[in-house]
Amino acid sequence: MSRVEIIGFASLRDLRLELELDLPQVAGVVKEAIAARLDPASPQVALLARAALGTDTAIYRDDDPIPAGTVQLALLPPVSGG
Amino acid sequence: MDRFFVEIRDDAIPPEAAADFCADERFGAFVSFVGNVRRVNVGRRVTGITYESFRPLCRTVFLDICREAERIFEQELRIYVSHRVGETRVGDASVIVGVGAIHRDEAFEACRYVIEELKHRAPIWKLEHYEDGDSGWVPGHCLCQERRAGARGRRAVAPEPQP
Repeated sequence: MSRVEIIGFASLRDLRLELELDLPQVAGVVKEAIAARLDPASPQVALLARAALGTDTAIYRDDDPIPAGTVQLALLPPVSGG
Repeated sequence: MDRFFVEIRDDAIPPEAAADFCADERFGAFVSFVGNVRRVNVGRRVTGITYESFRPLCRTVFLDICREAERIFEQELRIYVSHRVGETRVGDASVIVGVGAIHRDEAFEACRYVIEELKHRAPIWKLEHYEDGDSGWVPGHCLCQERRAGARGRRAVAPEPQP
């Protein structure tokens, strides 16, 4: 198990927590672990379902494995740049 | 000299920077796209937008898109991408994309490819501010699932010519 810091951006910027995770693990399972720490009535739950995880160099979709050794993950809600 | 220039910046994007960067004697075409903050969005009067970004990943995505554009259009290009973050007002340029290429066709299509991919993939978010004092995050494109092939630009999804 390794400790991973989760940092939310934009509409999820209030979400910041640490999880004990058994990596490698697909992003969808990590999102379930994050959801388990939220109030089920929170609007963050719906936002989390549409979010991806990322590092400085990669975006992890729900089916993508997050590699062992990852210590920090960004939580990325739907993007709207441009 | 690098063929790609990408940045996320906190201040105004110099309007001439894209043309300057893409200038090359071999190239007969330069195309640019400027995205501006507009007054009305979905019927609400906008006063400005605050842009937020996850900068290191954003740079990675910008460079990935530039490399893809060269691969798709099968030629060397010069590509400039600059995106604002922080507070902007109506009329400000929020993003500028410039592409230099040998011919106009590739320059137009590559420029379109870069801006469309940027809008769908770059970790940038808009917090829109309205005249009534309200603010809200603009709904966007989900990164958590594979993109539809149809959103990847005309050249990239064009069917193979039939004999």
